[in-house]
Amino acid sequence: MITQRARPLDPRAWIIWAVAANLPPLVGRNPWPLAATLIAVLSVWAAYSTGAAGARWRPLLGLALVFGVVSVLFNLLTAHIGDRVIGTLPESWPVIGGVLTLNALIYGLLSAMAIFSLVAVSATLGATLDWSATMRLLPERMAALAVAGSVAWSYLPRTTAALVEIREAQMARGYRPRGIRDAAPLVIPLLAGGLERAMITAEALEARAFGSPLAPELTPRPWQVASLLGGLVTALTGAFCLALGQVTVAGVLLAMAAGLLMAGLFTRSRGEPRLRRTRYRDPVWERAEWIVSGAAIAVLAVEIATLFLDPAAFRYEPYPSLTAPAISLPLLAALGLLLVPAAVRP
Amino acid sequence: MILPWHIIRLWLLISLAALLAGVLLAPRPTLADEELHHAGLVVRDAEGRMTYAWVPFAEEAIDGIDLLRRSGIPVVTVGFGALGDGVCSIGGQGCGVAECRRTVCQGSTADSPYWQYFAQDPVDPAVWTWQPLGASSSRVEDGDVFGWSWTAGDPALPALPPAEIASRAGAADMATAAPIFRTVLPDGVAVVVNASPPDGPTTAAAAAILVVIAGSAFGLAAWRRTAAVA
Repeated sequence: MITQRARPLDPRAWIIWAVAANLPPLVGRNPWPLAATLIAVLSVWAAYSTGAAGARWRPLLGLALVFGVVSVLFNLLTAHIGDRVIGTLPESWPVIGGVLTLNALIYGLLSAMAIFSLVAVSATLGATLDWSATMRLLPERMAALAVAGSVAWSYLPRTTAALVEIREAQMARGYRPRGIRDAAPLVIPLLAGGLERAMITAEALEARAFGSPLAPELTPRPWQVASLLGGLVTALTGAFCLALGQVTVAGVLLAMAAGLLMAGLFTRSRGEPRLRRTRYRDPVWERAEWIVSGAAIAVLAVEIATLFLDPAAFRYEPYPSLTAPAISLPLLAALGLLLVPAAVRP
Repeated sequence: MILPWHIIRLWLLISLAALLAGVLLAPRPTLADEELHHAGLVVRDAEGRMTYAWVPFAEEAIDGIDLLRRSGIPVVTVGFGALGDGVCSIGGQGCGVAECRRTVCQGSTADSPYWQYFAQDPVDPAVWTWQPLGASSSRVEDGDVFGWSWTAGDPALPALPPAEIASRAGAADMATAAPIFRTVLPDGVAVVVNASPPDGPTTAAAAAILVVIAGSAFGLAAWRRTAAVA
């Protein structure tokens, strides 16, 4: 009997899902949507992290857990605000001196939940995304950037795995770490190994003509370069306005930036016909992709509507007094749809 | 003779523990033990609500953040390290901690209000001087009066002498040993009302949705893992 191996979901469906799952932890600290998002994301992670890819990204979740604990302690010790005092450190102690409050502890826990959610989404993407298919989604002119980004991204799990291997090898030689001073036998081989891997990767890319000059027909025209530069500057200005809270101006600038970048990236360069990239396998977009992306778009729609109509459903501040957070039942119900990738099988 | 390392480490640990206990358990002087100084505080919010506070303190001088905190008015501040503390909200008015950490509640336009800090002139109570270095850098001494106003320009703080501020705060006499504050509402302005918490059925429904999501999440993950193993 021949069994057919399950194909991965199309990267575009995963990216839409990730945007919908990242919004609640990015825009607020309301525990209800945070909890719903975290549960759904962990379920999808558990469903897709069975193979070697899952094992490669699992240490990242451990690291996020450590950062979460640090975030809780940091907030508890440095935010001396709130009406529920649980302890006091002498005022003379720099930075951490003052009252310790339950409010700060809860805000730290919520921040830790948000950090863990974001990292869990990234780990799920890392374990499930077909990176070569994702790179093929980018315009041809961004291929070099995509390869560089992909190589950089792949170094994270490889470095973690290398650290574990070096530690095991050193322990077999009698290495027993007792403190920070004993880190040198780990750090030096890790650094040397990282540089060696970087050199091997660079040589392999060079052998495949990475970074070679573009063919004359792919050389961008001056107006395309100007359009790209103008788009980047406009995008940066729009992001700055968004950070300042000028939503209307930011929206106009970002829309202009999108237009300029599209004009620069997707219009034809000199020479006809244009060089075309061929594919051995075309990307597959079937029922599973429609279901996952449809559910994620529905979640996004509810999230954006809630953000405009009832922003308190995302936001929560336990300062200066601890109050019950606002609840939006439609938002919570919609966030349940983030479970859909765990339910479908491509 | 050189002591073994574990003895030195034990001795260091015991010394540190003793030092920590000494610092934590040392009796702190109470306000009643010493001669008290007093300072006034006036807070004006966006709708014109005026809060007057009269605050005793034992030290020779305190800073403006301490004065605000000791007044008893609900206040939220965030620390900016050596630059001191920024005031996010006073009496429930202002912005949240996350926004405060980014902008100290100040919007991008020139007329965006935020909590501005002023010192009253001791000679002419009608003169309020903006304090550009902020409350953490200000020095509050006996008889001083400071003001906070949620404004982009004119503070609109009243020309009242310290005795009048103590009286409006509700202090029976200016030598009071406990901080006291009172809010005066202008005509047509109501008390600040916080958003009401969600009712019982809504909370129960939210909890039920979370339980359903968690149950489905667990079931789906278990099913997918079993299918993957099979």
